[in-house]
Amino acid sequence: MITFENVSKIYDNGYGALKGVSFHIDKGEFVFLVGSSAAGKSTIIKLMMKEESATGGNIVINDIDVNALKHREIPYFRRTLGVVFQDFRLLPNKNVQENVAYAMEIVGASNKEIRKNVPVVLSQVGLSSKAKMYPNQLSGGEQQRVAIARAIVNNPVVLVADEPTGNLDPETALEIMTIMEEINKRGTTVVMATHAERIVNDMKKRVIVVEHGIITRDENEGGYGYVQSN
Amino acid sequence: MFRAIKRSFTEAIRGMIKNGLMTVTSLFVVSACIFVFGVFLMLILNINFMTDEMADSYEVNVYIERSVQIEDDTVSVFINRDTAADEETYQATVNSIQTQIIGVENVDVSNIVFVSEADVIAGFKNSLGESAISTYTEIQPGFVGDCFRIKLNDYVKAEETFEIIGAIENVASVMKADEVYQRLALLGNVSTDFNDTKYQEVKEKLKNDILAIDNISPESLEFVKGEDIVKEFKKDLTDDELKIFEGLPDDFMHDAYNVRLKDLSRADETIEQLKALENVDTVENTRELVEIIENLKNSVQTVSIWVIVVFAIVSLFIISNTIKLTVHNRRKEINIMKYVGATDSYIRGPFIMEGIMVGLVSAVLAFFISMWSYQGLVSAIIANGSSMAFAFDIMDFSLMWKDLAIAYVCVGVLIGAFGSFISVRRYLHV
Ligand SMILES: Nc1ncnc2c1ncn2[C@@H]1O[C@H](COP(=O)(O)OP(=O)(O)OP(=O)(O)O)[C@@H](O)[C@H]1O
Ligand SMILES: [Mg+2]
Repeated sequence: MITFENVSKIYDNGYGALKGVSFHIDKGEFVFLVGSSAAGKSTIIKLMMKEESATGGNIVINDIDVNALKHREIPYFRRTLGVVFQDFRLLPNKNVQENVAYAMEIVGASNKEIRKNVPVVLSQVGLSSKAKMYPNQLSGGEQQRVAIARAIVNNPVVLVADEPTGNLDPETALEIMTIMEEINKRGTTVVMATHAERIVNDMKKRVIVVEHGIITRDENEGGYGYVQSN
Repeated sequence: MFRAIKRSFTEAIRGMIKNGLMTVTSLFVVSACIFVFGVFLMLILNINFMTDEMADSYEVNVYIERSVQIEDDTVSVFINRDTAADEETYQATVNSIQTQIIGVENVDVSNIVFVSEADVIAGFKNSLGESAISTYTEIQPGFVGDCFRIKLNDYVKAEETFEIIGAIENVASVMKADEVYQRLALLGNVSTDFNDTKYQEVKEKLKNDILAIDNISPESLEFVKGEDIVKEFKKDLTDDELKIFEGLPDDFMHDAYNVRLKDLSRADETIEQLKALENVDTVENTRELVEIIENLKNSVQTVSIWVIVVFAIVSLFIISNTIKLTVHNRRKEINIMKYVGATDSYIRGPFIMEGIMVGLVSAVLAFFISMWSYQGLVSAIIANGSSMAFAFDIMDFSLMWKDLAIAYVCVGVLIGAFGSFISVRRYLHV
């Protein structure tokens, strides 16, 4: 499903953020990416989204050679991914329902499909009653739920999340994780970079630990704490 | 498709409203640029209009050579023949005359030809046109006599030379070619007016020669009599000016053929061809005027192209800056669109649309500004320009508003689309 093979990334300023990263994630897996600040987690996410290009190595996602993607193929590749960020990234001038529908419009879905799918995903994230509200009228957790709804509305194969709970209190973070887990249970592969030690430890999922641009540990049913002890 | 356009349109309107002042500024600057473009366009349209009118009135006047007989500069020296004298004696006389002619100063020695009476008559007969030959009655031998046909070195001293030759013994008479003609015409019962008969033919031949030139428009050919040309010319003159013509015959101008050309650009070549024709006196035309207009047209076009280029760049710059502002305002949104998988063209759409709309609205503004200022200018010229030496008509706005409108819309849309394309390319990296 997702294969990183000896991937390195040197940013334009010459900084080497990744130095030979290799891992493989199967379809339907739930994977945490952990590691201290500046370790390279977000860089891995950006490479997966093709927001940045790898300097070396191979990245294959869903049988697509990501390095070889042409500029004009990138949008179509991204439609197979759903992305969620720490800062939600909602359009402030559109209400909840419109924010989700927007993602469908962009990929050219018909009005009929939009009317059918949007309420479904909104109920999945538990926001059916707030469909007409605007982002600034919502709590952080609710905003993140809108973002998740938007990420999954086009049925992506992989859901990629970069610290989705970073701005949320522990309680709300748990709610978000419940939703993520449900999405994963329905078959979507989830890759999530996080600093949320408790969540990682509680959920007993696969944990990939990144430090200084290399993978130091990759463990099924891992815990966050191992990072610290190493 | 329709939804995409509708989306671009509403987003574009949103962008324009959000940019407020910048949109208004760019509308004014761009319409000013389009207006300047329009000024040159209107200038070019007017000059083209003038040249067309010019071309319509462009006429070549081919004046016909009138004094056809002058071309024959031979002098005939007729010999007296004593019918009683025998051939030998006559031959001696002829020889003696020849020797004496050679001795005369001013005679071109290399051009002395003996022509028998029979040949003189035959030559005359040959020169007659169709109308003349119909009345011709055979000239009886003995009435004319043999002659020497000679040429002179200097025709100014002709009278003097004639006298000397005339004094030679047995020389009957010395005559110029037209005098010979008149005499023979009289004898042969042919009209004595050499010109008329021959001239008709010359005229006819010239007409056919002119029509044989391919750049001449055949239906335009028109014959004008010299006296009519003079009359026409005198019509516009004051009494004072008319005094100059006192004493001149009414037909001091030659008759002419007036023709028009199919292709004005080949005028020089055609005029040379006309000049080379037989029996053409002079060829006149208004070529200089046409050239002045053509030159004016060329320089205006060159200047226009540069001005248009400069103002197009200014417009592009201002539009791309307006769009840059919109792009900046909507940076976040664009990023979100990219994450969700929007294609480049989907993202560009609204920006290009906004550029096009700025261009289009500017074009409409510029059109009305142009219309008002052009009509104002025209009425001002008409109001105080009655005495103006305007040889040409100013084009009426109704004749050019369509061209202008089409050009403005095209320019506005192109500049708008291209301007926003540039800034989307530069600031959006899509
Ligand atoms: N665009 C960039 N240009 C240059 N250096 C960058 C760029 N993006 C990231 N970096 C550097 O690469 C390193 C890894 O950054 P990255 O964002 O992947 O870290 P991270 O593991 O996500 O950290 P955090 O947990 O704080 O989010 C950092 O040192 C960062 O400064
Ligand atoms: Mg990060």
